[in-house]
Amino acid sequence: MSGFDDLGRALRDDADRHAPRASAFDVDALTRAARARRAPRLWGTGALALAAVLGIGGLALTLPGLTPPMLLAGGADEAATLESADGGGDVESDRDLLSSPATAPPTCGEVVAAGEQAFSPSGIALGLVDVQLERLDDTSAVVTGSLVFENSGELAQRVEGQGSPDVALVNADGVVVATTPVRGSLGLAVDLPSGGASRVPFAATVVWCAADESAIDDSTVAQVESIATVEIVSETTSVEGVTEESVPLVTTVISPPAAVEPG
Amino acid sequence: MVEAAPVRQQQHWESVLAELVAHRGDALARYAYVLCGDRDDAADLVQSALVATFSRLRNGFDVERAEAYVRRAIASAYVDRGRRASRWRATVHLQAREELEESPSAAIDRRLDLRRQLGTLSPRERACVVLRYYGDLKVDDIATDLGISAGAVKRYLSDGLAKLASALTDPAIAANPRGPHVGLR
Repeated sequence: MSGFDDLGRALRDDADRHAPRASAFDVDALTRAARARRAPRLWGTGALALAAVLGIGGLALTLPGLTPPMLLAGGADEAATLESADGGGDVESDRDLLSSPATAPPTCGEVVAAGEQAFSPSGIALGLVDVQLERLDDTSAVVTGSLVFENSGELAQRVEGQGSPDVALVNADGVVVATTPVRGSLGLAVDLPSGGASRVPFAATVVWCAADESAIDDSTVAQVESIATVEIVSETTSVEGVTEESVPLVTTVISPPAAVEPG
Repeated sequence: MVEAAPVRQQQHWESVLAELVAHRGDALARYAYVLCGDRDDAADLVQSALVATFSRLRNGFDVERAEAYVRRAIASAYVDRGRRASRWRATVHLQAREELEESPSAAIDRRLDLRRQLGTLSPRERACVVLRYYGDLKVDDIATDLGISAGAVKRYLSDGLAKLASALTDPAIAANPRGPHVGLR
């Protein structure tokens, strides 16, 4: 329709006249808010503290039995689209549009910010417990632990996913000193009744970024703090099959210190 | 022993945030406004997106890349908010009467009030229309930004434009489809 040739111009004119101005934004307040959410307060209670950063892409929360097979993103950069069973495409799963920078595997030397624990709108809380670090040699270690999903919502929910845990160890300054060279796999299919919880164990091998500089021995790892960043795509579907809510969520969990297994 | 509090240095992401707001804040606000159509909501969208983005953004990003992520966050937040509100909108007509009565010039108003017609689109339809005609993005880029398939974008664009077109199908527009009828008030 030719009338829409001017649509872009009309939109721009309207925005020029009515949009708020940047002067209304308080940069200091924004910075403080962002800084608070980066929550460095739990970083490194000691100079030797380490943290594990665990990233899992594309978990999905569903009401059991009401949805077609869920699309489960295998990587942070993959598009995630959930088509309805008849192919109509009315039910689509949005991905967290921030997921690329937020949950991409951390790289050596990168400074990783921690966040505070968050809950999905569906009432799913994520925790990370029983994290242990077992040193294999001067260059690698195995990190094990469990993800804990708790459903504080009123409805039973199902967590499905095929994540690829990305684990990194960071020092007290938040600098990545070890990463996961090969992505593992984590199959999930957890039914969570209202008020229920479930643990999902995971294990990943990490390799020190620079063995000559960053390799740790048993004495250097006296205390471990673990931080997990997990991307969850929440999809709640009604009986009629109409999507009511699809809220992408990136949850960051800070676990309490866990034991360290000497190699 | 009392230790002096360390002097806190501004981190890289903080300087990027300040520069982004200073130089591209107006553009982000306009972008949010055309998406949501409300001045206050636009400001809220921008600020929420800035906080969300910079609470997770790692160091090493320049202003340009940061802006791209903020724009995606704005679009995502708008679509998500709209979806949450969609259930209310679907039933609100059953619960309340229209407060405004059509004036004799309503037909003319409908032709001219594109903003009002945009308000009838679903969040995804509107987002696709805005990204296409305001952001000048291609279908594939819109799909990436919204995290949906290119086919879905085409469908939302088609549906959205069809709805807008239906508001502009009276004889006056048909006679002068390129005339000054497409405007926002």
